[in-house]
Amino acid sequence: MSSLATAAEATDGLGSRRRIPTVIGPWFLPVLAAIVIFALMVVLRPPVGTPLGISLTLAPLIPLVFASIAQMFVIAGGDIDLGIGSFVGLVNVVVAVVLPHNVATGTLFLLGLVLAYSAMGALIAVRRLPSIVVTLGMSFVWLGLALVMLPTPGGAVPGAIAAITKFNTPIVPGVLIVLTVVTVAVALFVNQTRYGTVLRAAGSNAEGVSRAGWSVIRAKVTLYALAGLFGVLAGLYLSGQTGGGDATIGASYVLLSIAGVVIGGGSFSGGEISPVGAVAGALVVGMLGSLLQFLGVSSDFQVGAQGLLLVLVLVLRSAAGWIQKARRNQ
Amino acid sequence: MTTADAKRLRGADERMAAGLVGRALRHPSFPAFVGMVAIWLAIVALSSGRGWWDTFTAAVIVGTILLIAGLGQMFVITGGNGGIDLSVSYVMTLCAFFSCDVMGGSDAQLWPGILAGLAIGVAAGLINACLIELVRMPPLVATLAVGFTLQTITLIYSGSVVGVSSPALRTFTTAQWGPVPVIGIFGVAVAVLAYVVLKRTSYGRRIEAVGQNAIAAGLAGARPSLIRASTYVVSAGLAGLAGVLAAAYAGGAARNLGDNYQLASIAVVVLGGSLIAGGRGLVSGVWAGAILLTLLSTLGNVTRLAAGWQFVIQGVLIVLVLALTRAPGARR
Repeated sequence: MSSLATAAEATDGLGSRRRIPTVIGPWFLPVLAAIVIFALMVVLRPPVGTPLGISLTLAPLIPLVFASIAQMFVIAGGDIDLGIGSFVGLVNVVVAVVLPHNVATGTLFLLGLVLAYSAMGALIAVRRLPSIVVTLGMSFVWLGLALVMLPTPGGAVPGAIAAITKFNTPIVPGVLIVLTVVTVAVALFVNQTRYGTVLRAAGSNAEGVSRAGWSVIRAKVTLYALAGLFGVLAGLYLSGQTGGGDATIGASYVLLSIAGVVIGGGSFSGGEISPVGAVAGALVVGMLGSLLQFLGVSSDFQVGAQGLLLVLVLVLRSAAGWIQKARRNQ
Repeated sequence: MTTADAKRLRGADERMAAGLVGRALRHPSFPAFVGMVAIWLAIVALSSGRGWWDTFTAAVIVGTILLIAGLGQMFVITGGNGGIDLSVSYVMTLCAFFSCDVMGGSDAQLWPGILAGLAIGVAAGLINACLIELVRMPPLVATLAVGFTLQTITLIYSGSVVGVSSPALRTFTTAQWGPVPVIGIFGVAVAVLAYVVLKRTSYGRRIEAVGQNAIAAGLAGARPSLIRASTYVVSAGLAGLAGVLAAAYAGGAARNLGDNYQLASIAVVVLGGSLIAGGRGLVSGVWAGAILLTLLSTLGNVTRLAAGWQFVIQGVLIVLVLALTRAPGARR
């Protein structure tokens, strides 16, 4: 990022026009949008601005934020994950059904799920399978396993997990601390470490990665393992909040997590991702739902509105691309 | 004609017959037929009460609806460039409601009802096509987003609809000509039509050419983005027809009518041996895949397998077939 900015500065006057977006970065707009939506909510319902209000508004969005980070890792590799929703549901069921009876088995199960995710990544990378169909097929495996363990919603999440998700401090809302720590950690790893660069490049320039002596397959497996890890975190957090198990609880996360990453500046061609953007994007999508509720819009419209927002962002981005191209051709 | 000539001719005949069998055995859709027969035999062996032919015709009736949705999906996938239509299930449900609303349970409104369902499907397909080929959205995202929007529309619209399908159409879906279900013949006719369009018209040849190599096809005079755009319209149109038939078979529309078809419509294409990266569509494979998948769920019901395990088997089967058969090459 910084090297790109200096490169733009080094060029002539043309650079000055392009420099602004390069310096600000793709995360700027989604962060701004998140702040604007939050401000709108405060205007409509002033109590939202208090520490308690912030907790109550943002806490339900944390699982979606984790799911978006999971999706971001898969998209970074140039793939797409259609199974994250069912996966979160399966984690939720494991936490509500297996974990209360046997902590060791439950923990091993969750670890096994992360391993299964990396194995899925290995299969996709080694056999060069289309990620869409594999993850869609696996989503039925996750959903099926969850339904076998818990055909109808029920079970009870251990109190310890519920306690962790309700973590709070008297001054700063715990939700903000969790969000900040996770975002900063992921952003530092992806943007500042050497392996983070390799992971991003695995999606956009696999040839370059292998020429530089890194294994593209290992990078993809790592990306899927990270996706699985954050999928498990999303499921744990969701379980703590709901207190019970439901196999289909994560169904909406497929579209919403993709929307979060895309609104956060991620590109489907792989490599171009922004952790801060993805977190902000997830918050935008999630808060849009709450905002619609505040405005008295029926919850029936919610999914459609979130889908339309995704389409709108992509249409605008594509329009911006056309304008840039037209300008360059002038 | 000398005896030597006659012998040579007969030899040629035999070779040709052997060649036909060999070609059938090597055909990429052959495993789907084998799987179909194997599951069929397993059901007959496990369920003593049911006849072997009844088992098959029951699967053909339900499978034909999946076949029609799957054929549309096949056109989209064959067009390549990561083509996939995830809106199939939502298009089916909306079209089912709309056609039932227009039919209102009367035979007089049969054709307007069918046309209304098809029209909604085609309209949805046009939106998909514009988003993908004009706006250049990835097919997966565009069709999923359109699908969710359609789902919202269905949710709001269906609250006020107590539509019942036309009785004539209901009879059509369950009627039999002797031992053969009428809708099965209709399904085969649609499949033959799809085969002719894909393999015998210049339009169909262009779809496969674009799916194999869009740049080469473009240089040869095809317009890749127009060809691909048209496949989304075909897919959504066929999904609309499938939705109308599914509603007729069930007697009316339901909000979860299309749910199973999102994965299943892709599964039948994959199981049937069509290339998931595009460039090769196999209509016979889609037919066998649709019957196979329907028989598989019958097998699940016969053995009283929990719904969860049926999902697991379906998912594993698709991933396994994909992992075993896919030729390494293009991505996504």
